[in-house]
Amino acid sequence: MRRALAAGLLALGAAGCGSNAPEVPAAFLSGESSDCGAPDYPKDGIGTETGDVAQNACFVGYRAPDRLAVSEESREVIAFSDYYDPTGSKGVGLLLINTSAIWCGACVNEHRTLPDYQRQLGPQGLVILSTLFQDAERNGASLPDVERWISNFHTNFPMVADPEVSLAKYASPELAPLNMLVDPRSMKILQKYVGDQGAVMWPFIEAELAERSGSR
Amino acid sequence: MPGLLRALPLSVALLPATALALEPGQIGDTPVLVDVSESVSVYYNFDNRDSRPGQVATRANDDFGLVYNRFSVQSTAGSVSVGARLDNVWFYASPDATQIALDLTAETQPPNPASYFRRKLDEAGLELSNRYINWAYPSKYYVTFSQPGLEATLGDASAQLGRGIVLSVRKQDELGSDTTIRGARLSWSTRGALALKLTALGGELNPLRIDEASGRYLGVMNDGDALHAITEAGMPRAIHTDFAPLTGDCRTSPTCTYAPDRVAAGQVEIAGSGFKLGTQGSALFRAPALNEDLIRAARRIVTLSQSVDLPRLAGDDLSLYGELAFQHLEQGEARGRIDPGYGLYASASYTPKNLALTLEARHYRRLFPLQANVKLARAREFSSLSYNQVPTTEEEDNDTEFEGMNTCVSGGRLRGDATLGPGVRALGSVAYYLTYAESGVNQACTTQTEQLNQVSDLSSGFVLESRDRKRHLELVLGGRLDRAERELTLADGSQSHLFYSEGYLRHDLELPLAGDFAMTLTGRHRRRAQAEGGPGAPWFEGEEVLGIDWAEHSSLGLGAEYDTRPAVSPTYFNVELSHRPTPDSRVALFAGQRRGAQRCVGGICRLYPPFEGVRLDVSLRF
Repeated sequence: MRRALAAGLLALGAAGCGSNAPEVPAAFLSGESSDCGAPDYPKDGIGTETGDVAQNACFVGYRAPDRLAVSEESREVIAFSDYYDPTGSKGVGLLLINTSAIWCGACVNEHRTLPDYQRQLGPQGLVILSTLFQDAERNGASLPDVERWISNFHTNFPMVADPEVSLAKYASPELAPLNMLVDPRSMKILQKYVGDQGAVMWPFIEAELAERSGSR
Repeated sequence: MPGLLRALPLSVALLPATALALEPGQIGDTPVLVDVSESVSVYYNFDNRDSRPGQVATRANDDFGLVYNRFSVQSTAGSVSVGARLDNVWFYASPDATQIALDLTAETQPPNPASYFRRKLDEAGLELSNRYINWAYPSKYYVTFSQPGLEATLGDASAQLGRGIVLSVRKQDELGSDTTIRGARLSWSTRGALALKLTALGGELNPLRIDEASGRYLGVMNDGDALHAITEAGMPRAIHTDFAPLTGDCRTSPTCTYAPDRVAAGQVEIAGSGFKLGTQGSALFRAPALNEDLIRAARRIVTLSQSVDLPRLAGDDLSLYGELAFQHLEQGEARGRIDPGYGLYASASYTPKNLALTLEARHYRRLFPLQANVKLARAREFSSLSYNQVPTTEEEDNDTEFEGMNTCVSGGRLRGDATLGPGVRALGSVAYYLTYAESGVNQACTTQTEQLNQVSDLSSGFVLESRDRKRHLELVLGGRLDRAERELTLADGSQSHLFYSEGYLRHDLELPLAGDFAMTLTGRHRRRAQAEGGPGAPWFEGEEVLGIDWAEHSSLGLGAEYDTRPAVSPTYFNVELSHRPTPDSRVALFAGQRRGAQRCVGGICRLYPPFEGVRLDVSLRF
């Protein structure tokens, strides 16, 4: 009796199966992807893992918050492609893409020391680009949030808002901060550090900068 | 919901008929005992109300359903036991990457919807590439030969050496983990005035590969040597999807999330009248690191310890235990090097009549958990997976040790339980710790004042109990104060030294009702405040569960939970029915909501997302 009941219910369940794939508007499929106004940015080998090319992404924020007053007038669009330096003409030795959120204790702690590293390693070619993606309530970060963050931590490198959490594909936002080292010559991902991994990350960056300055 | 309706037939089909019960037989003159157990969980998870704008991961944990089946069989004939456990999971409903991207695009209304949609589709596709995948795999298997003084196991074996600092791989239901060593284990012992026990084990570490709460799995590559090929035969593999290509290298293949670690460990124990000495050690060998962090990227971690156990002193009223450990991390090139770590754990229990006092102390410097080589960026739910358990001296379920507090800490805790009269007991505890790795990452464990957090923890309460123990009331009040020496920056830009504070109340009431019925009321209520990483203001959270028990057969639980943080849903309600038709079987049905929480066991913590749905558990044993 039990088996007969199970067989009957299985048949009923199977009858409920069917295809219900969502319909995607044609415009979404045919429209061009944004290249952030950088047609020369590498398009081959795009991916999310070490050795892949990081896809270009653009944000609004402050490029030099220590030199230009943080205000609506000094906001600008900042993209990964701004630091793409295939010939070395821009003087970018290494690009460190960092994510942060106001709710994230490790991010707060990390940003206490990031400006010091920028001062120390900036002259050797390190560029830090940091994105603030969420506020204390885990809603998308706003530009006023970025301004408060800059003021709190005396940020001296490009700092942008990323309310769309565009970098989530590289690592889950729950594990913030993400620190992704990118080779500006090719925009290939050299290393990804999940969480505040300063003890291993900074020795690697220093060694990498030394090697690059030696080969220049 | 239709998915749940489709799953119910399967759960009914999985209920075995009585004809499946296996009877003991004989091989020659040796009786054969067969033990079969079957456990099925059927879930449906609705929208768990944790969605955030633009965030794929908070949508990818809604509207999924699964049937998780664990079938275990063990056969024993004389000195030989053979056992196996087969796990299989079937997702009868799961979120759709396209639908997630469409929903987020519709809600966000971005200036370039096509570009936004494709970005979110890529992200959702990647997120789902190692979630909600059906698998069947041999989670455990072993053959054990045992006779007095000798035990040998080939296959999966659990192990805990000392108090777990050196090695601890075992089942932990609260965290949904059951890690074993898949290899060989040999234990040889002698009896007498001076007893000797030698234990040696080695193999690849074998955690459970599927996380029921999230539907995520750990996938491995076919890129190892012969041992890897044997131990990983039939285990879940990294897969190729439209969003996650397989590159042939685990490090660069998104769905390859686990590179099995290898361990060799041993222990020598010498026991005499009233003492036991233990020397234990483990060496963890990594496959190529899937994460660039100090522990997971270490090529080799060697941990050694010496323990002393004096269980009967002062007329059996006093027992002492101490364990001194050393740890060395061998790092690859271009990674930071740190000095070897060490730690001392000690405990003393004094239990004369009507009193129980326990003092535990720890002094750890760079003593790290042996974290598994899991790719965190793609399998965050397994971030707590580790192969040892360094004692914290705190409450077993303490969830307020932040960051790496236990890796660089000194302090202790005294607990007391005094019987004041018939049915009246007083409870209390006091703890104080100095930690240098809580309000900031400090893996080198530099003990500068700026890194220091001072933690004070206090609790006090009482127990009232009737002579027949059917009436019981326990009430405990407690608090924790965690002060950082350095100035902390709060979300609004203000400064504070208060890193964390908490006040709480716990209670447990049991009263008999008519006949075989009894009532329980259990609850915990907390006022919490966290400077960095908190919501910016103190919040309250807690739960109450009203239970009606019918003898030992059945129970009904009505639960209510709350959380006043602005970022989460404020209230949660649930009901749970449980019935034991026989002593070896259980059926439980949970329906409702449960808030997200960090659950900890002995210092190993895991963050669980909120749950909103239905769960049916059936377990049977023959």
